[in-house]
Amino acid sequence: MTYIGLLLFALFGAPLFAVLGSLALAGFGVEGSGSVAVVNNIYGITTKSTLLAIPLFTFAGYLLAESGAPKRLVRVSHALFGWMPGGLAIVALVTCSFFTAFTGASGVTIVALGGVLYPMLMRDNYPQRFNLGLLTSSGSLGLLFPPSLPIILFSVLVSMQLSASMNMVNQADYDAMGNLWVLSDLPATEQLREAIELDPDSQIQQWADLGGTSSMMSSPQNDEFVTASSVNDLFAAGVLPGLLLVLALSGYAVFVARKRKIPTVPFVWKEAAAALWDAKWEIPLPIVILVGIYSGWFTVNQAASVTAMYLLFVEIFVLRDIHITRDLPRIICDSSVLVGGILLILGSAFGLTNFLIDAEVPQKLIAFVSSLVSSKWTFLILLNIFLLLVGAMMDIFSAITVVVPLILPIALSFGVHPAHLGIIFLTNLEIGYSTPPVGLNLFISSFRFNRPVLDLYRATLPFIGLMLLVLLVITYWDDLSLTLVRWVVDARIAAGR
Amino acid sequence: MRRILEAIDLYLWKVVAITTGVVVLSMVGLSFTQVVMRLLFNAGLLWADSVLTHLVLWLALLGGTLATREGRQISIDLLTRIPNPKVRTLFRWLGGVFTVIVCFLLARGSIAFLDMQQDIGGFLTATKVPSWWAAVILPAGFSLIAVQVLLNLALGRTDGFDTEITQTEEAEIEQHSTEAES
Repeated sequence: MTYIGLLLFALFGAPLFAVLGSLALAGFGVEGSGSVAVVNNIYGITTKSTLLAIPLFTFAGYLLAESGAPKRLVRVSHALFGWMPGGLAIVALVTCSFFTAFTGASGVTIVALGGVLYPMLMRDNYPQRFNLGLLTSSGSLGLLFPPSLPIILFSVLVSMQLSASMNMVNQADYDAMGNLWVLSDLPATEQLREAIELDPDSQIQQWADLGGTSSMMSSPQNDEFVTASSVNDLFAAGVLPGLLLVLALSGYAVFVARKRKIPTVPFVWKEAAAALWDAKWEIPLPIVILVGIYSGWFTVNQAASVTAMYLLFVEIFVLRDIHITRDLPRIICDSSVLVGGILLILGSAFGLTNFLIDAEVPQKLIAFVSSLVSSKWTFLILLNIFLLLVGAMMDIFSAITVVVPLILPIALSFGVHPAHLGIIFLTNLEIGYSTPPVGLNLFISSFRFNRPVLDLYRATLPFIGLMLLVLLVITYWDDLSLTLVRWVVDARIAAGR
Repeated sequence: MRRILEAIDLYLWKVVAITTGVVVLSMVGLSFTQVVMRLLFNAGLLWADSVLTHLVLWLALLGGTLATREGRQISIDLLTRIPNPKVRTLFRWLGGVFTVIVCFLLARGSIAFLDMQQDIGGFLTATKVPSWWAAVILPAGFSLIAVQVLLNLALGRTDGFDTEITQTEEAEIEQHSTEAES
């Protein structure tokens, strides 16, 4: 009962970290050792070395957003894709995705790029409603591409959640976990490799893929290894589904441009070269990050560090887009506001997990859901509907923190791969960003373009429809997400890392 | 009275913002040094990793304080968008008082936690810095957030998110559209 009362405060708009913290206090006790245990947990989570990537990538993203990078990137993609029918709209989709991958769909994309792209689209005679819908729904496009913040957050939470449930008293409800538990006397990595060799499709493989080993190898060094590898895997899982989303929306853009008979511009080599040269400092970034991480040169943290330092140096001293005293302090504060918010809810997220496990909610949910649904596919339909509702009501960071602990055990019991779950999860939330009544993108666009929110509801409908179709594909064709993951995992096992 | 509160609010913000700047920049600098040392010399600073993880802890609480001031703490604001201003004010107060109580309890727990750390008496890896020093930000940060919530309530700050966008962004939109036209 106490728990329910505390949860109510979330609806009144109390900060999520305070609500989660109060759940933790209610669970462990307000006095003496109870509250010390709560603080000890918060301390333990926020000083996990894997979290370093979050502030560094966010800072880098804000640096990009405040520099001249949006304009340069628009120019490049205009030069490269402008000759296609629907070229300018495709430009919008591509640059928005690039940007969101770095800024994590915090609304920065619409703010930074909307002002540049909207007048261009209007001038080229694209229908206004199309433009509004396009820019609104693009505000979260690219969420599936590395190094997007929600992906990192999801991976960290899943690893945390797995190690928390591993410590549960009642392990019988977690079949896959039971298997690992029996094996846990052997040296961890060895037995995992053996288990995977014995039965490559087993759930052990899935646990191994996404941090399932974290409590077995729970020394601090291994902890970073495990979470880092799960972040890597989820990065890999997002690439193809993300591309599919961009392609589908581009197809619609081509269709609209054809119908409106919008003239195409010829491809000019000179302009393409000049634009690429102009953006030579920013274009290599995603490639360096991806190649760096997957070739084993960088960990995710190191990639984040290099990106932040590089952008700091380039935008201040080389390109001089950002003034060191006029702009930099503001950018640091802005990015810290987001980072502080995320890290605080992450630090207190265990409060909810603890409450759920205490009240045996996962077991009850599993029993309830499996009494309703027996197949994985029906479960996934229900999951999609549920997540769309969640995505339309909450922002992505609260949604991930609150819903992952609820959904993960059920999804695993239906044999959904954690990385696939992550991609389904994030795609739903990505769509939820533009879904009426309270999708965040709608409000940001409404402020940005000075249009009533109701106009935007109508404008985004065709885009939401298309994204829902893609969501169906992503949900039911799990190889789309998992092919690259298997490839990355195989490579890692082969390299003995 | 209001003037005093505004002054406190401003100075608090300055101190927090400057500390945040130092934390972020040292984080970038230190982590980059680590990368360079590892790639070029295959070595690393032993103390850097534990210092970096504690900088993240500091940033969590300092950033959280800044977010509180701007009304941009992550929250599930389902009911706060109700148009009735009286109901909204009521919710703001309910949420605010609740946050202050939780932060107070967490700050108290943090002090006890520090006491314990002090008794154990460990140091950050490869440094002479007692680990409890690095964790001082826990009680400090939770207290700062509580104070900031109270200041927000006293100064009648509404949900910072929408007001902020309308003011700064509108100017920017204008600027962008004139640029695009010319």
